[in-house]
Amino acid sequence: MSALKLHGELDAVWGVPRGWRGVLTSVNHSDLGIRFMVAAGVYFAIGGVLAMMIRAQLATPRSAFIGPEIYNQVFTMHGSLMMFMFAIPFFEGLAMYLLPKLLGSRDLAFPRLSAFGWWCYLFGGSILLVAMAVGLAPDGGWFMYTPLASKTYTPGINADVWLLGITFVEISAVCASIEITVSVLKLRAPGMSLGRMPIFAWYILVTALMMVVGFPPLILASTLLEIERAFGWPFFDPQRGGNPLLWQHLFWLFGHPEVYIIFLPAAGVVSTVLPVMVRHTLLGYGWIVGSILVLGFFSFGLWVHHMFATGIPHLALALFSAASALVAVPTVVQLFAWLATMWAGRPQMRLPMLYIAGFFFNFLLGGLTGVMLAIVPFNWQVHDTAFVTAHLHYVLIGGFIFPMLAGVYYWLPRFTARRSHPLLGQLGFWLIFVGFNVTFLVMHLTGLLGMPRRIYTYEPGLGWEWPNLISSIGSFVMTFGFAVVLIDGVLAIVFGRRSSRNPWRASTLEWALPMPAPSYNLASLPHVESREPLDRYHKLAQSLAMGEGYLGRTRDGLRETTGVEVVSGRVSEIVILPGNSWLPIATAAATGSFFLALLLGYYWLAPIALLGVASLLWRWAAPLGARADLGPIDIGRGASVLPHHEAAEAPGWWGSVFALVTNATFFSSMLFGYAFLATVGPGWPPPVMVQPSLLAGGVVFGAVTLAFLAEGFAFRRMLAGDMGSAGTGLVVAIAALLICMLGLLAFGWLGLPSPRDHAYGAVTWVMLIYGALHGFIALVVLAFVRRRIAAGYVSPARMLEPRVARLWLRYGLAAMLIVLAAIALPGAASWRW
Amino acid sequence: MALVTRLFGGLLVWAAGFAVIYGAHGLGCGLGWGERPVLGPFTPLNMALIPLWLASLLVAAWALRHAGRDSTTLQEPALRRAALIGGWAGLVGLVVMGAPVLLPAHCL
Repeated sequence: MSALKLHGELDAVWGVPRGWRGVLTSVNHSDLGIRFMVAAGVYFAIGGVLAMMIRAQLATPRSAFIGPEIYNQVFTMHGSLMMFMFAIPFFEGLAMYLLPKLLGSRDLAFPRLSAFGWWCYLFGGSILLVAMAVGLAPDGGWFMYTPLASKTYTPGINADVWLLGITFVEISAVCASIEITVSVLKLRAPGMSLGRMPIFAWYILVTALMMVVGFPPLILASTLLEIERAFGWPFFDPQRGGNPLLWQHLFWLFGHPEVYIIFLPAAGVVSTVLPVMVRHTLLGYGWIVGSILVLGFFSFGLWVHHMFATGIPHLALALFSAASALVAVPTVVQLFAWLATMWAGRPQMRLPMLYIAGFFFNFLLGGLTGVMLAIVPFNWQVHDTAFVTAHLHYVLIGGFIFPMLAGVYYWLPRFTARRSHPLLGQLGFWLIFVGFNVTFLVMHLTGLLGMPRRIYTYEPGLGWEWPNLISSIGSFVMTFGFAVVLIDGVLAIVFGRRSSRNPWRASTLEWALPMPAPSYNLASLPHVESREPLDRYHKLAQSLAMGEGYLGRTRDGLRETTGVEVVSGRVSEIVILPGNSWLPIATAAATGSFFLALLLGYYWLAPIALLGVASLLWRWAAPLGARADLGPIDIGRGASVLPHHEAAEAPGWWGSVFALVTNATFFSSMLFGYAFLATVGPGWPPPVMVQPSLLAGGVVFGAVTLAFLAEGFAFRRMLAGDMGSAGTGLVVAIAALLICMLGLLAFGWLGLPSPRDHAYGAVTWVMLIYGALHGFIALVVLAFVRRRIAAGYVSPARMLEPRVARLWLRYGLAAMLIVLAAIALPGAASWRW
Repeated sequence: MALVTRLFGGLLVWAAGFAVIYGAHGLGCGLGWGERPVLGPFTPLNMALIPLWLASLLVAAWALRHAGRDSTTLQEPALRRAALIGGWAGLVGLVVMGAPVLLPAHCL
């Protein structure tokens, strides 16, 4: 078959409809990746305008440019937009766009999940922007500390906009993290073992895993604060047994890893682009992988350094101070690997390299002030001053923006098939570099002179006038630089020279694709034998375009790509991906309705919206799978493998595993909150404890056991091909789950105090609802499997759905038992029938 | 699961050790164990935390001894090196971060 004919056939399968229908239904990773990056760029521009307003206000003392109310909204929105709407979505977009191309795959593992995340991001961000436009933007700082953000001190809707809008957007981030993790682990080209993965994939994998466990504490914190604001459950109110420090713990449990979540993808860009710019293989691959893993872990042991001034015990200060200083080591390991690579190579100061040089300078300064801030006495001196503002901008702009701009210029030909004008790009770099340092270098001094953060004005005569004026001038220079970069990008897209296929002579797979990238990425998939496949086999691109690799044909109009064993990279299955769909946007709209109902106080609408989400998710899973056993299928190059629904560990199974890890982190954070309040909460032990009903508890325990056994029976019967008995077993398990849920709620009604009176009642009720909800989820999942058996989608060979259902059932049962034990055991003295 | 324990073994021990030490510290302070010295400058909280710390160091040393040695799961040298770095990081991390348990003042 000719390359052109193969292209036509593949494009018919993988393409996107023209016009609005395509915009609304596309699940293509390139489309969605570009959309994420462009939208993030728009949010960056809006956040930048807000920053200009801040600098205009602070340029002179007693400025009347904007008043305190607007100023509070401006700095809150600046931080929130930059962190949640720009930085994370931008690298998500970059990862979504690049990963399948780098890994030699045709798409990500869950294309509809990517699309769902995109729409959640767009709708959630719109809530924030509309609120800002009508003057109701959040105004309590990007970290929303309680009690300032509690109802008493922020009575309006502003804080709710942040809590609900950001949580909505976080759904997008969690979806992306699961999507990326499974895609990197499972959807690679055959032969690409973990040790042959491009280094960028390692960075993104660790980042995604950090997001899997990093975001749930914040989602929990936002949920609890919103419940407190809406219904008066006092999680953070010290007068009723709550503790404002619980918010800080949960927020920074997310917030500090977040810094590394932002930094690591940028470092991944450096590790990818720098070797190409210096014409030498990256040195220390194993060292870098090790240091990324260490960073990923250590970054979760630092969060308390944001709380050094809250009066926590000295031992905690010492523990976290040591951890904060130590985390510099794995960062420096990477730095030395980059320096060694430059030393061994022949650096060429092209535009991406210029930005990398800027990154080295700025990030080093940010890292050094980070070590200074890790030392408690110094931290106390500069706490909440402009010094910290300067430090965090050196880390975030130096450590994220500069490498990302290097990446944007490096991959611009990949995105657009065009090249930019080097002189305009260099002008943009120098304006940004000089403007940035003029703005923030002097800001360290402003902080050391005692200027607090977040103040809207200051008196003359304090010595803060000239450094503030210099910072403001520098910030406008930097803004001009970003404007030049934007103009350069637009000019490149409209008038730029066409790029050749591999303009940088790089050796990673994304450059093997035609320009521009087709909807299916590669006409056939390569067998990878080294970390730099294009170096090893120069005619790889042509060979793949001719269909000489794996899956170099279409079959029944299905979207097929290869799945591999996680470690070895041996091909293990054909993954059949779903096509373009209305479901992602519809589900995101239903999810958005839920958040809007809560935001506007129409609480009766919220359950209806949730019902809509549940019914859409049911339809989501329905079109997948097959009604007949297909057995091994020829994929070319002499290999035959099973389709994914007949394979042992398909992407869907892995996706559920990581979704449950996220869920378990959420639950663990809840248990941590319970233990934290019980240990240090004021007014504990509570005036009224639970009076556990042994009858209700016993019923729940018995029903959990029955559900476990009945599902086990059903699973064994499915493996034996006895679908009738399996269906009966599932019905028994479903009935047992119903009893579990009702028993758990009865346990609460019969024994727990009111959730409004004391934090004890609030936190135990929340745990109880969590347990009951997971009983319900398990029930729905089993009902789905029961229906799939009836429709002929399950056989002894096609057990993917029962395996996934088993994961959710067992998690739900474990959650219910843990909730029961956590509530009942502390009240053991007053057990009753 | 084999990959997780082989590649992340040392770091998982670090995470568990750190969580146990910090959790025990919070619990001990909440229960008032750090208020009165009973042996020289050391309080009952020291008596609880120091053995926990030493035990975590032992487990981390054991994890380091086994890090990167399983060439069945980690067939490639780069992965074995990464596991070894994780093992060292787990041990050194626990030594440095846990050392403050030797200080007498805990709950001030």
